[in-house]
Amino acid sequence: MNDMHWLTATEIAAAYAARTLSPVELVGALLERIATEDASLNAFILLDAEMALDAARMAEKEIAAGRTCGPLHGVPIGIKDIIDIAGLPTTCHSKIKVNDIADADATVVSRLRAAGVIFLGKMALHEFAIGGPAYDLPFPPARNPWNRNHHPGGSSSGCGAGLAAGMLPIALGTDTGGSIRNPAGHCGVVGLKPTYNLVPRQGVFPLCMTLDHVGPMARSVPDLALLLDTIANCKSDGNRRSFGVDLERGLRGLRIGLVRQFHETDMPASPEISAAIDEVVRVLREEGALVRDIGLPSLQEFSAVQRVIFHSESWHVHGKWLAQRPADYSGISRRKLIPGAFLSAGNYLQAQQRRTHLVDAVDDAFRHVDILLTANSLDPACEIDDQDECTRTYGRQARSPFNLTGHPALAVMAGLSQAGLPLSVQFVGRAHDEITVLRAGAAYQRATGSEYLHPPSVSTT
Amino acid sequence: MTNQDIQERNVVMLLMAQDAGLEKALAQFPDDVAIAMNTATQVREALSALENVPGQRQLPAGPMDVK
Repeated sequence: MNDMHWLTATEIAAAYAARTLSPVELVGALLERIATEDASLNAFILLDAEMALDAARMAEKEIAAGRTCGPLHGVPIGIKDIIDIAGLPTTCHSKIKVNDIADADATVVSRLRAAGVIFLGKMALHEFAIGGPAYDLPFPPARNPWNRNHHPGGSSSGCGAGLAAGMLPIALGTDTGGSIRNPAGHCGVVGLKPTYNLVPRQGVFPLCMTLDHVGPMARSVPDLALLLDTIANCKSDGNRRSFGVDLERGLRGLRIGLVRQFHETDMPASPEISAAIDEVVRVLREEGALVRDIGLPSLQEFSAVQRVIFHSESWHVHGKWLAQRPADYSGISRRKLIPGAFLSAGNYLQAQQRRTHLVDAVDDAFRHVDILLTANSLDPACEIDDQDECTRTYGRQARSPFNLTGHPALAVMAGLSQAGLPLSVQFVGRAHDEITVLRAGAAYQRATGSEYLHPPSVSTT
Repeated sequence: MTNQDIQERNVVMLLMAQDAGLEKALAQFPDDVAIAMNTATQVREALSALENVPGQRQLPAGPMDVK
């Protein structure tokens, strides 16, 4: 098998079961791939090859002995370096925490460990999941495998870049204002922000306590379901259906509401994004979905509320360090974190009040449709060193509304720009209805074959 | 805005930064603090503008209310 770095987790599990692939063989191939590709992509902050190979040998023995822990046993993963793995540093891509060794696994990591997952290492991010591509940090920013001069999106940049470059099949990211869905979109992979609180945040360095989400990233939607099955909380009665139960069901009869206003009037998208959304609608209809337009509060209203909560809560986390050690932050992080110092409790409460209206408005939309389709980013990925363009495009997105409301949201690839950069859209579901979101994403991905589209700028064999 | 207005605003900004414990940041990175203050002003104004948009409701029991 000479292209094993492109295998999905689902394919890896099948290959292990058929004894046509072994964990040691796969990890060895991925380490070679990382050695070739990551020098120019900077997806990893820490690659622990020994840890990964030890775990692969263990998994190989257990699988051979028939003691399989589940479908992710022996599958390698990359973890955003804001999530604790016991014994490894959790740097948050920052000087502030560069020497902090985690003394315990995050809850999500302990669940993955129990499932037999192999940890390759820690992935690059924007500093504290807020900054942006910056060079005044202890580690360089990750780059986009589709074009290394371009931004891979963030803040889970290393996860997106690593997946798109074939360095790992699955990854774990976090999303406070779109930090899973932005790199998933810009890198041409898939990423799910689950319903608020579905995935535990214990052991994950916080940014904003009521906006933070932990979620899976991968190249294929079925892999997101596998990963979510492993990390999500069970219901209070201990029962839960697999999130992948409807992956093969298709789109026939599914009611999809296109939030056209987001990208046409609220914040007009680049023509390539608009054309990509039109094409997605055509494919969805061809697959049997019932697509209609639906309205929501404006992106400006979502943004006005989200920004107050975002700045207030992130100041709560970082205020002490910003006062004592301002020089240890990147400039971009300082400028994004300090505003919270100048907002009042009254501002925060006013925003929280308004938030309930926005949650209700999205819930109301789901009385008429099963899924919302929206733009993801409103522009293709900009050049990573063009700070003006990075700043201009940073807020041009339709992701953060669903951090505010807590609804599950999935980013999937929707073709390529003329410059060969991935474009993407977002499927949003009812709270706790990840099953339908993944159903829609899987059907769309099958119809377009996007999980098998890889960047031409990385070696394809 | 007159020069006097700008000077008065700068004094207010200095006092606000000191209140927030940001003397060190203000001394080392005055431009970053000024940009952050402007951002905070824009954020407050955008929130205030919503007062004219229907939809104000009572605060729920918790900070987040996903049904």
